[in-house]
Amino acid sequence: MNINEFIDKFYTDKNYKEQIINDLNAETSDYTKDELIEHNKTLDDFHYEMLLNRISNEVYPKTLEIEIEKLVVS
Amino acid sequence: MKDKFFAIGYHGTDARYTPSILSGIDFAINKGDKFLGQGFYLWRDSYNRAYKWSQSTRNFESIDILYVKVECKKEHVLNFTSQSWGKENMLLEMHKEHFSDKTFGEFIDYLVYHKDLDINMIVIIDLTKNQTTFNIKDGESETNFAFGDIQICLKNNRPILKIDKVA
Repeated sequence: MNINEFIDKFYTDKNYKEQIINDLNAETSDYTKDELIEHNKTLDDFHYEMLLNRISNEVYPKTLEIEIEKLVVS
Repeated sequence: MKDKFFAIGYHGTDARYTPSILSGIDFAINKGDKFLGQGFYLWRDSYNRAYKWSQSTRNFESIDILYVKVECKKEHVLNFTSQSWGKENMLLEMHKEHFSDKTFGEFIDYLVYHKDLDINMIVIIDLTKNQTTFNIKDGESETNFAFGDIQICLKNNRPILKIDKVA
């Protein structure tokens, strides 16, 4: 399955989404809780910069402004 | 052409491992980093970075540098070096929403190696330190240039067209 098909299926097929979430949650991370917290913070910063960059390039500005507001609030 | 990703990459290794890599890469044993996950790592267009990494990060006694030519449909690449993020953005959001108790690399590897998701490679710019950009102004316009190398993590051998030891 290619990446876009997977993303579509994950967000449109409720059973598939649940199966993926359950299966992956059954796996254990090799990293500690503190390492995961730090990793997720870095990912958030990276994601924020991605979205900001797309706004500055005027790609989908309205929807991404909303996404950034959500990120800042969370 | 427009729907394909092409690259020449370099991989540094201890010379003892070269014959086994050339006879077949075992992707399952190549544990990677938190973001890119496991796989076979290349420095794009940078023999020097591959050599330096082998020398200073891994301290290999006898270093071999392998040359790897890759070609892959863009739909099978997560490319964080471009500004046209779409699927990359969606997967980051999916990870944040549902799988934040795993690293992004673990999440991707699970999809690749357990759910047969066709991600053949992940590409990212690796800067050696934070401030490696500089601003050039030209009248009203300005451009930010940067120096860094591009790191490629191959998830399988499908994109590999050629692999050989650099003489």
